[in-house]
Amino acid sequence: MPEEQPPSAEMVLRHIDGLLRRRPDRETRDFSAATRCFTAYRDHVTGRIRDKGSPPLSLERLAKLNAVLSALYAVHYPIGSPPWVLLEKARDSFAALAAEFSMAGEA
Amino acid sequence: MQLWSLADADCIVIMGSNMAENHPVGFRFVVQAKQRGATIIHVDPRFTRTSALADLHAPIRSGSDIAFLGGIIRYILVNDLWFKEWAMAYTNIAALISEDYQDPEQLDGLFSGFDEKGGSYRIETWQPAGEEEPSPLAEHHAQHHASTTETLFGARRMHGPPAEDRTLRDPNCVYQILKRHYERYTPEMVERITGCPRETFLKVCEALTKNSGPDKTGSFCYAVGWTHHETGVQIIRAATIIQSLLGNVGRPGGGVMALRGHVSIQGSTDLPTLYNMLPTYLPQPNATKPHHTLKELLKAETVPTGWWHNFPKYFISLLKAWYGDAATMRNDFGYSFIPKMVGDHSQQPSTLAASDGVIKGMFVFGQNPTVGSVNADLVERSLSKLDWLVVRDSFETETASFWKKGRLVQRGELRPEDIGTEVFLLPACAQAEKDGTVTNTGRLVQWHDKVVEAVGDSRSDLWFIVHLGIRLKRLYAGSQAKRDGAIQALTWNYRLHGQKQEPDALQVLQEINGRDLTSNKLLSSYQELRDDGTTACGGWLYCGITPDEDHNQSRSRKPDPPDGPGTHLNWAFTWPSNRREMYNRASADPEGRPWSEAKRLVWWDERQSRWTGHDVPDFEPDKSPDYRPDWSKDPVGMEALSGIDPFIMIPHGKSMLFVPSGLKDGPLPTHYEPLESPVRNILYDRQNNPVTKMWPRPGNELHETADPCFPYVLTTFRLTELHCGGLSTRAMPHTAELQPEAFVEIPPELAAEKELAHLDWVILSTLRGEIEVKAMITNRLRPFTIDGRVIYQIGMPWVFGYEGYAHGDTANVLLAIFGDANTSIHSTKALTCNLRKGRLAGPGGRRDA
Repeated sequence: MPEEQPPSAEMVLRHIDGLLRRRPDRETRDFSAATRCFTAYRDHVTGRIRDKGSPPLSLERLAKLNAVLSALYAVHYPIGSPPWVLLEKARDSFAALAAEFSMAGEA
Repeated sequence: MQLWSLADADCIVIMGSNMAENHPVGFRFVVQAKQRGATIIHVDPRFTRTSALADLHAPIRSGSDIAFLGGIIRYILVNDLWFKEWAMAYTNIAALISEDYQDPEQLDGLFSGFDEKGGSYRIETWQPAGEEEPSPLAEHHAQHHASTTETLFGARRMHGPPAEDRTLRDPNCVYQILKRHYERYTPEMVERITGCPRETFLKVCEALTKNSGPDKTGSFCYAVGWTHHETGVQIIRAATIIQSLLGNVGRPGGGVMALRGHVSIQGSTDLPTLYNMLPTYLPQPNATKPHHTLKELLKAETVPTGWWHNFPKYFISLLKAWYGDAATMRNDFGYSFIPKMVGDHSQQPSTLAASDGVIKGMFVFGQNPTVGSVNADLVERSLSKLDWLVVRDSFETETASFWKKGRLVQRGELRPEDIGTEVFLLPACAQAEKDGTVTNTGRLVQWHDKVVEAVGDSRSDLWFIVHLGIRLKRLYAGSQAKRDGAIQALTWNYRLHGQKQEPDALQVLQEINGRDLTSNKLLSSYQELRDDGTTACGGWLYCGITPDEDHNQSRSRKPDPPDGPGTHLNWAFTWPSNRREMYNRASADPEGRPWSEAKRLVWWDERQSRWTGHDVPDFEPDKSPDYRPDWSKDPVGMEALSGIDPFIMIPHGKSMLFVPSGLKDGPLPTHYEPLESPVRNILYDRQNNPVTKMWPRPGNELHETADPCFPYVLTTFRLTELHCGGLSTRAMPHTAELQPEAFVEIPPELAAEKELAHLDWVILSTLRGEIEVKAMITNRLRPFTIDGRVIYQIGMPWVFGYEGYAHGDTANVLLAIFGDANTSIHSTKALTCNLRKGRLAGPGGRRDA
């Protein structure tokens, strides 16, 4: 069975931007699609970092990537109103991180 | 309240619980009360052994509890049967609420402040006139909008008690709001909604009110039959309103008894396993709130008045207990080490997040989620997405074997070779094989000794956690990464003994109790805690449980003699301060005298100028009943509560009949139909609780209201013979043979319609899944007439699975993932389903009949 192609950072950004534009409430399919795309990207990056022997700088970046995922989680499963501002900030962090992963050959 | 206090009750209403079967040890106090002449009432859809031992069984349709309890509130108010001296002094019944408040009676099922798009409430209009009322600290995270906390707390000081109308004539006073809110909850309406005959309902009202007052007290007992609804918190609130109107709080035989489902579920709430709390009800910092530094957290969360004003002492002492010398004033006592939550991390969202790949690994202790969690097939799918799963149990549970024998594997939807989850099953000690404590339903902490060596490689939970911690600390010892600082800083110096290197459980209890770091002496009371880093305490409410190195109060086993006070202060330890009844100041009248000789508990001793009595007073010991705060001096904390404010954890010291802050779904309980219901809401166009947490997705679909494909109400329940998730007893031949296989209880009338005979196979179906079980045709369940229509309810034990000797399909396959807005807890008691005769097609001999 051919291995599934990992999602690109652009695909992840498209999902996040779509959420930020539509700001859906009480409907999780958009959220789930975004989360699944993000976690597939994260898992791909994790695999590449492990292949490189998990250098500390890469692990630092990976921790930041997981922090972005936390922001996505926060709007998907909010305690009160979804903290969209948090996701807006996280979106920009992700864009910067994705560039770093790409430069480092980890995505 | 304490379980034994039930024996002092004159009337006990058991509702949302089958206490005789599921809490048989505690039920003996109900039997004692009955022998002393108390009236016992069981309100439940099923006629069980609890009903058989009660004086009165009132059947109600599952999910209609608030209509029933609201009817009692109306009965009390309309017939003027409330305990006026008590409620006028100790509740907010006279408080004036904002003129902008609007009731569901005006807004057809909504409270004012509802944001339809966001699906949540803003609470400004629920506030007392002219001020904003903070909620008790432990409820802060129930605040609705991130901005609300900033306006309600911080530097704000209260300038006096809330405005009141002691004549109770003002239309905006709580009394008038209550009367209007429950005006339509007449006995006739109760019957139309719940199916309980009005005559039976009125007998409940009469018994309860007749047995409440200065000389008498009544209790409510509930279990997950109340909590496992999307309106669970509001059901309990409705009971607290009744008890506060009748003066049944803080008094012998009075109260609302939460019957906890597992032996130490109270302890796991206290210490806790809850995602949004730190030990003993301190809030977990939140990344979306102003909690970025310790200073910000304390400013945002410290309640200006009442006992919770002491929050900084408890929080900083906890940081010292966890991080020891690494917690200094310079580094905010290690505050940055504490994880900040970002959202709802409770079990149901976590299950869904796992299925989306967010969560990579999971530890499962003391739980069997593929049997005990709702939408059990979706749970299996989520587990199959993990990288690793560690299950610690005494037996191979369905959770541990899902990858080879699970339902999805049996049906061919998953193949073991396609599941990437690496499962580790580690043998765990049973209770008698380890030292430790159990905290039971009455906050009673009892020590138990290890009495037998565990077999094979079994280890205690404490062993596992301590040795895991040792290995993690070793793993990260040389790390330079800031994110590993929390593990490096963690104090983890537990004594290990014996061949198995078992940690010393008493040392852990002493860590929870706390020490004075200037002397290294154990603390004897939480009043000794300080906020300057000189005390360490792992859980302030447990402070005093080990006041000396050679004194473990939880070991104590000295009951009172038969003619003693009956509070049994030398039997184990009850948090806080070994106090048996919380808010027991309310057992005395405003002047400090017992309401009656029969119901003495604590009182003001004029001669000694102190509170005294049979229990540890839940009040400042020398605060005189005539103390009044001097508001010109801007009082804070307990200074701001008067000598007649018993509810010291509440900012104003009064029982809140109307709750301005702290709840997400309204200041008053109001009847909504369950999310899945065969009938429309008779009271409002608004069918369901509008702020229910819902996570629709493929595999978690919900039924429409009155969907003819799913016409029956489904409830689930436990069995005496099979404990909780079931396996610890299903794997034992002597208990398994008592309940050998799964069944569904079906009323004879429905059985006749379906041409079912006793022990026929039937298929139960929902949009989440289908299961097959044997039919138990029984009069325990009767058809309900709901607004003139016959509605059938069926019930099934949820404790079965495929492991052990007693097999059967898992009821939780049928249920859906959604939750109470305040707690996110699942709903297991009132859903809809279909039922047909036959067997499922498929492997394992399953076929259509």
